[in-house]
Amino acid sequence: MFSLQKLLPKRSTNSKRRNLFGACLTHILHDGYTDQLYALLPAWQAQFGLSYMGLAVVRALYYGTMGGLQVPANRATSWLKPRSALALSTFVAALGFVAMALPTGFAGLCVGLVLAGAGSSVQHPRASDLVTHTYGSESRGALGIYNFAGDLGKATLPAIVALLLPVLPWRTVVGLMGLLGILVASSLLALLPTDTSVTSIHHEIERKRESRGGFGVLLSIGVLDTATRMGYLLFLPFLIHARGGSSATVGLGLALVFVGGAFGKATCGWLGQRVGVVWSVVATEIATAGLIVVTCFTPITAMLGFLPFLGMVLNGTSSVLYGTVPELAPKGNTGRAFALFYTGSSVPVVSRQLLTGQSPIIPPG
Amino acid sequence: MIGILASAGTAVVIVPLVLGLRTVFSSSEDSK
Repeated sequence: MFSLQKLLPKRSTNSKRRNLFGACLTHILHDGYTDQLYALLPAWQAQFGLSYMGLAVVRALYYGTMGGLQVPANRATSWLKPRSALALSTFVAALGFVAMALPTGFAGLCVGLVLAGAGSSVQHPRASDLVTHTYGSESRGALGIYNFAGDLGKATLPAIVALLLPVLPWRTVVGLMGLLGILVASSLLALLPTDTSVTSIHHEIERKRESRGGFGVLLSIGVLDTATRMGYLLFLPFLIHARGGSSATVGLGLALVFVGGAFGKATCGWLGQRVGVVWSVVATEIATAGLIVVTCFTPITAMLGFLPFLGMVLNGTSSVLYGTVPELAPKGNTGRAFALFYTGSSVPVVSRQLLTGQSPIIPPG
Repeated sequence: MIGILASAGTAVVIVPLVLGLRTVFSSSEDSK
């Protein structure tokens, strides 16, 4: 049987942790970059007189570029070591935010968004690949932590931007975010090891590994899982209002789903490692369907009580699925498999944004 | 309400798909 662990040299715990920390740091920044745009949209609407559809298109410039370029960007940077690829892509994303901060009008904003999206397109496949090859057969739990880190970025960076916007002009705030990216890119150069072992292992895996098949099914499950999440989050505010909840209750409900979801992302990876992929996904999906139905027919107080548990299974499945990507990657090319998986999972998110102009609360990744 | 229940339906659709993956995992175990 093929075993990643057999190919891996005895790597020191410290080196493993540095790789995981570097991947998590990159995920925090890039996912934070993605979601902080929501806080900036009102400022751009006021500055450039954009309609709601215009705002959705502006948002899609970043998200579409990031999602659409993941496969080609992964291929284009495959000759680079993970350290160089992650630092360079973070620097390019930061440069995009610096470009947005320049007084170059709406065209400059669009160019900056596309540049930032192109930079961020490298992060998901290469950082996931780094974690997979660092932890080998035990990567499922580490990928769960990496997944959770993305949610930390989604929670913190938009909040920081929202706090800064009332006291600073939006261009200054965006410029500061660009500087933060440059700082993180420099930190990655210092943090991630310079050795080539990960790259060499990667090539060995590609050569030795036989494809198990089933990646297409896994990808379909990933798309459907994201569609379930996006669908529920789209309609949850209407459900809360129908139960007599106020806008504050909607905010509380979404926050409860988010908190449960972040916890689920960190824990369900381990669940997959313990009970296996198939039964953990079956359990989380049945629990998801059951809890969704329960929230439809319970009073609002009980419904709010169920939401953290629903968030756990609604979002936790993604960690199990991401953790399975390396096992089913065609020809053992985990970087390309992650790129395809993240791209496929982006489709329901982009579709929802373009159809409704609304923001996803817990996007994939 | 229909939209929310459709989300639950989508989650249920995943179950037979993931059970299909069981074949992939068990065949891999057999080939050990």
